Amino acid sequence: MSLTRVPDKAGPPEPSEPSAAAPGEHALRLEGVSKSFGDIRANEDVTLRVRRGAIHGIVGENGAGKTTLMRIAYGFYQADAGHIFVDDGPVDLTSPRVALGSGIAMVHQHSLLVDSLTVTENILLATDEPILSFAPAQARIREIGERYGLAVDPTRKVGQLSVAAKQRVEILKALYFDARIMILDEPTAVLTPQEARGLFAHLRSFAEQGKTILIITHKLPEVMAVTTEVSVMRGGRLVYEARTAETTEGDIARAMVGRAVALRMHRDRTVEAEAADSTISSETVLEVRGLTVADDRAVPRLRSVDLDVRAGEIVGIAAVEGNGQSELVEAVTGLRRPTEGTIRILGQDVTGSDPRRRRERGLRHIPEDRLQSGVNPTASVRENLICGRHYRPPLAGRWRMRTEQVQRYAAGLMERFAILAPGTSTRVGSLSGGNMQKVVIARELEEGARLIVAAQPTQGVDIGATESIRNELLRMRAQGAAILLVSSELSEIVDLADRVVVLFSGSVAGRLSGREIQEEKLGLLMMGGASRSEMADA
Amino acid sequence: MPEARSLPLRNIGAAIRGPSIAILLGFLAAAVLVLLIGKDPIEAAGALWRGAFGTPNNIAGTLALATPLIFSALAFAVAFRGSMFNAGVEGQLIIGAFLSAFVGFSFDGLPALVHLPLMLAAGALGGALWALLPAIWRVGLGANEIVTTLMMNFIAIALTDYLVLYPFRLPGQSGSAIRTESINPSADLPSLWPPYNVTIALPLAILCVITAWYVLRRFVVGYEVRMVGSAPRFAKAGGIPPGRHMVGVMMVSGALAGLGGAAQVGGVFNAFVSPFATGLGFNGVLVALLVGNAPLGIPFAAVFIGALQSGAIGMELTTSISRYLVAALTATIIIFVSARQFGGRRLPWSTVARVRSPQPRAEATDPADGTGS
Repeated sequence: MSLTRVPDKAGPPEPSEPSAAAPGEHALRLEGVSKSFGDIRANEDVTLRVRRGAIHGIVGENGAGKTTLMRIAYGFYQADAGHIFVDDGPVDLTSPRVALGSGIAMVHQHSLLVDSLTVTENILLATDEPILSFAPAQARIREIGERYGLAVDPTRKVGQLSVAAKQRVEILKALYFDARIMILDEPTAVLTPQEARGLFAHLRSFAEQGKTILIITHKLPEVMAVTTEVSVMRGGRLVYEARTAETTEGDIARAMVGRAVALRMHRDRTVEAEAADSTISSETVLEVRGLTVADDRAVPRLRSVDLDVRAGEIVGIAAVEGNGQSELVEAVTGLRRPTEGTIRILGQDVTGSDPRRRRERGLRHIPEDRLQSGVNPTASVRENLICGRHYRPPLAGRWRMRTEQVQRYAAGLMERFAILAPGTSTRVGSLSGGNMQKVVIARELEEGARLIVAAQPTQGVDIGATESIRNELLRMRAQGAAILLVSSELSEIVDLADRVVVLFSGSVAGRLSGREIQEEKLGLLMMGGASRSEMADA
Repeated sequence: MPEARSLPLRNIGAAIRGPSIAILLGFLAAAVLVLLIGKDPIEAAGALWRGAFGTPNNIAGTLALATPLIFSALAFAVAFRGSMFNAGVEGQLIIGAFLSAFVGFSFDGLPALVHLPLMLAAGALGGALWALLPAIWRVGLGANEIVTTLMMNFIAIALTDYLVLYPFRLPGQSGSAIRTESINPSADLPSLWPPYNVTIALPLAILCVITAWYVLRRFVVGYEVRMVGSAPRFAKAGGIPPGRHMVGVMMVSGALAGLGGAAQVGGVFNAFVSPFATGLGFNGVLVALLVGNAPLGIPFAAVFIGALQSGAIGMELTTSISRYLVAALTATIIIFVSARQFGGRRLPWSTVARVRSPQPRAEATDPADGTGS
């Protein structure tokens, strides 16, 4: 059993505590694993036991600690505390290569293969044995491919392969090195439903042959369809474990999101009351019809979405990352041309308009990627604050900028939005994340905003700044602005939105309003809970 | 706004520190080189200085060499500020030169006041058009402009070679340098300092520098170009169209390069000669690098490089140290200037890499549980 065990180099670990399982039943055990990054405790005292031959699902929200735990398990990170056992033997996984030697392989979400090399060359990259000829390896790859039904031509260049085929190469690589434990990070994120079903069939056959599969996923239907056991992580801890057959999607969803919602305590009730007084007008500011948007590789990411946002209301978009919300934002703000559908702002068709014309109609955009689109880190606070209105009076004449007015305008915004910086010529890149976001908020919410597209407006921002940003959004709502709020923070949506549209794989999975807006309902819809039947036969 | 006023002074201090240290280290390295070949570095430096500034003739030579460098360096810097890496300054300069020479010798009987501007405009137009193609390929097709502009250099050289050798060949010529017929005197650039080759192209170059600086700093289009150059996605989200500005800066860049070519034709050769530029474009890139693409630094850096080149000839004559030592010296200085810890600005290509790949995958360094999970 322990032929391939790697001797522990870090001194004797604790003797493995007697567990309920029979000895040898667990292929992989993580005992009391903790890992911190600075002040962030990514994993806290996590104990995970994975049965040999299991397909074990690891689920949780963004930031729950799943990826960190798996990175510890395949040797990419080293835990601050805790021990790892493979086949009940203690191991010290100092690197992915050591982990591979212990039989643990990772299949990454985004292929890490080298496009310009062949399949064989890519697979052999993981070894440091001298290579005299590719022929034996090619024969072996063919043989493994045939045995497991993972047909890939070993002489093809990886760059010529489809995404699904690249994933097969990653799996082949794991099999080539006799991995007995395979970790897959969101393996279906890049696959079509058909390809996903094929993958699941492979995973089941691996498990039947005694291999052990760990699969990280967001999607509840997948958990129900393919796993035998499931563990739920939340806030860096393992909070729920069950045999899949004995649990339900609802239980898992509750375990994922059912936390005390501390942030709600910070909501300013007075602003809320004030906002509630203002009636949502019937004026439709944003009208989206049949919107279909493809990503850079022409893969449709948003499919026939209809959406209205009226003056004085906040419409939340709830979706797990990668379900079309970024494409929606880019299409509405004019950064990406939709393949089908229309976008109207205040009744005018702006589908073909550039961002500047949309801004002139009252569009404001708080972008998701703050450092790339939100601010120009190399430019001054002043230059950042004027972008978008820099070409019009009073900040500019026909040709020239009006330096005095620009300075006065920027200084005024800095004061009003409490941006902490030495002066208007300070480089924005030297500010804290919260102050950077305040620069964005100040620029976008100052005057003339009729439609505000706010994407992850409080991501990575401290509690104080979060509160002021949310209050600012509520203030704009009270003033009659229409707000489209995209957030992966469910509590934010629940706190702020009047209506919620849930997106799942690019389509509207549900619409909630008023009292229906509850985290559990949202969570279930975001995981595709409503479309369970589609995956059940996988 | 006191802070806004005091800032430029501090910036100048920082801007001078980097190149100065690099130049000092470059000279030290060159001194070691001279010692290694058994010569006296002090003597070499003296000869270099005399060659550059020792006589009025040498000073004029330095200024004449610096003038086209100002144009080509400014051409590179303007494109670079708008996120375009124009490696084709040389080709644009050559095309501009040929077109200005054509205008120079084709029109007869025009008053200088008309002929001269016409010739310069032809040079600018030729350079701008030669730069327009790579710009369109970049914006429309995503073709890397470093590659396309570089290749356009070879086409420019071959094309003008052909034109000089066949359609515009002067009978009775032989040897390695072939030339078109001479331009009419009405297209000659007047000398500021007869009999030397220091023409009105020098003040014209400095005027271009000041204009570029002022437009980048104070004009709406300058602000937009700087935003596109330093943060293209930010610019786009703010309603600034990056593509239009990329094409725009390339055309201006090409026009400046073409003006430099016209200045050489009108002020130095009085004809188009082949080979024409022999490195004027690339030396311009060096000048721009030396001052981190800051327009106002370019005339000083151009005079410095011009002095080195002019001094090298004098040094070779008087000390038997090869003038190619100066090439090594220049290269060493550029290497030191690119080392950022000396306070120099970012090297263009590191910035270009940053601009091109806006989202470095944070797989390995992402601390809190990866967002991909």
